[in-house]
Amino acid sequence: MEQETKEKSILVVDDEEDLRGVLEQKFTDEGFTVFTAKNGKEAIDVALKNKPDMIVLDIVMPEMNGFEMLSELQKDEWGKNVPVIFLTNSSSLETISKAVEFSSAEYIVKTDIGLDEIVKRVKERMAR
Amino acid sequence: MDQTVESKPRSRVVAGLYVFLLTLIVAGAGIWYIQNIFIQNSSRPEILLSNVALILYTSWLITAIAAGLVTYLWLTRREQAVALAEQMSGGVLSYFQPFQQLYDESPMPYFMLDASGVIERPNKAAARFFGAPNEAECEGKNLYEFLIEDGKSKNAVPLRTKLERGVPINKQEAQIRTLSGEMRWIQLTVFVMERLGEHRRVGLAALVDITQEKEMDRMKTEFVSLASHQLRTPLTTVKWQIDYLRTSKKFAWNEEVSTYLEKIHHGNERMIELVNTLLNVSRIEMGTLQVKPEDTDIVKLFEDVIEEVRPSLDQKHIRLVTTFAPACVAHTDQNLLRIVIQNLMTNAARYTPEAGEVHATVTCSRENVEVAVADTGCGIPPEAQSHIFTKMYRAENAVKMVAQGTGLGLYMSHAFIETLGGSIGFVSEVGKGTTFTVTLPLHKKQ
Repeated sequence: MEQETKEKSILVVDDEEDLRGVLEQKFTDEGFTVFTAKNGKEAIDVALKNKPDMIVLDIVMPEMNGFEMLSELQKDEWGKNVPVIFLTNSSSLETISKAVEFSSAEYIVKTDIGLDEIVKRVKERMAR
Repeated sequence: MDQTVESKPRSRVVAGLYVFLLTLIVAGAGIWYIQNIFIQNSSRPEILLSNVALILYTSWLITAIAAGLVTYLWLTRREQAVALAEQMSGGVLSYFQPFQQLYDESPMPYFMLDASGVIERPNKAAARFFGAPNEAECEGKNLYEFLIEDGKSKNAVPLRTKLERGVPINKQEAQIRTLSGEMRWIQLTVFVMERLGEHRRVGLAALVDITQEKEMDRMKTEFVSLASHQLRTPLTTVKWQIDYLRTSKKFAWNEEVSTYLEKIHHGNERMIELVNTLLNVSRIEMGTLQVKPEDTDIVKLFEDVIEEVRPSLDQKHIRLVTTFAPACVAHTDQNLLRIVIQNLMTNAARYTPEAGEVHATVTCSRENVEVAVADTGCGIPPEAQSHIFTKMYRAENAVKMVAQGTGLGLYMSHAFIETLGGSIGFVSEVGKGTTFTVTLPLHKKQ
């Protein structure tokens, strides 16, 4: 399992340090190369510099939120196709309808999913 | 008042005397004229005069007296009738006057409403409420012009239907836009009355402005929604850290630590579930429930839920009997349906005593799927049955048996199933058990 993901890299974007930290730890344990960012602005720089295979993206963040970040990123040719998982605790109608507008992204509520399940979803998505 | 009553007989006597004298003069002149004719034509006027004059002068006097008397009596009679009528109408008026005043001056908007929705005789408060400068400007306007028939005021259509059919309307809520463009929530009551002498139905309508209550309600709901969202972040922090401790191969916890970790995990999951319930309830109330229908294998969904609740069934040695149709796919929202089945199964496990039985059934017909959960639990008392889907209601025997519970599960389930175009019902007997049945269309009709 770990060998499969050896060269795969992932960008974790979340403003909550504890959440970002545990995700980073979990993905590292699973053999991913992990990059992190604490808001959308920072995430764009890290993403364009490192071109990760996947982005796990929070939505509600200071400076630049997840939607703004992704819209910005999609101006880049590579950014158009990078798979994204929105991992958020916002479940308002606006958030969901906005999230599904991004065809490259899927939407998961944080409290609905455990760490193992997140890793499973990421691997499934990468295998596609 | 006394003076006029006293002066009346005198005026009647004067009128009688006047007529008497008038008749005396007129009749006297007539008699004098007739007498003259007789005297001129007669050969012996003196004989004639004595006989005829006696008759003539007697009847002259009688006629005058009779005319005076008749006048007096006629006037007396007429005055009595007028007095009586005045007395009666004065009474009726003084009886109704306070009501009229109450209607006109009441702070409650009142108006008459005909079957086509036309507003008649609005009181001051009604005119003010509809944003008209005075009652006259409000008169003749149609109530339907004010009604906003958007999704939130589904009531607008039945209101119209009810009025057309002449059904009384009891505290029906609707949203309106006043003439000044303000949005208001109203609670309308219409007493249907038949107007005398006319073949059209008119009702007396009373309005209560519930805009403020609605606004408070919305704020409360929004607060719950906001607070719940805020709670999710720390809950996620706890969830994922515990998850990491529980699942990472790095740690080799002894059994004792693992047990504590599991307990923290379960406590946190319960909290998450509670927050999700609060969020769902606020969504129901704000009308922002998200429905995403997709082909759903009902049996698979039910089996997943059974796996989740199996520990609580096993703990009480409750026997689970399942009767599932071989295949049943419905086009519905599986997240909402899952919550409903979870609720029914959790309730069955919760309110069924040790070594009881729970029957789970999925039946599939050509048009519908029927999901049933039957338990041998405490049952719902007859007096509680009509309230069982009410928000935050819990039957007394349920509270006695299990202290904890929000009273939101069945309220939520009922709202979800209605949103999905289905129905939920139950049969129950105290001490024997309860069977909840959910019927859903395989394809929701639009």
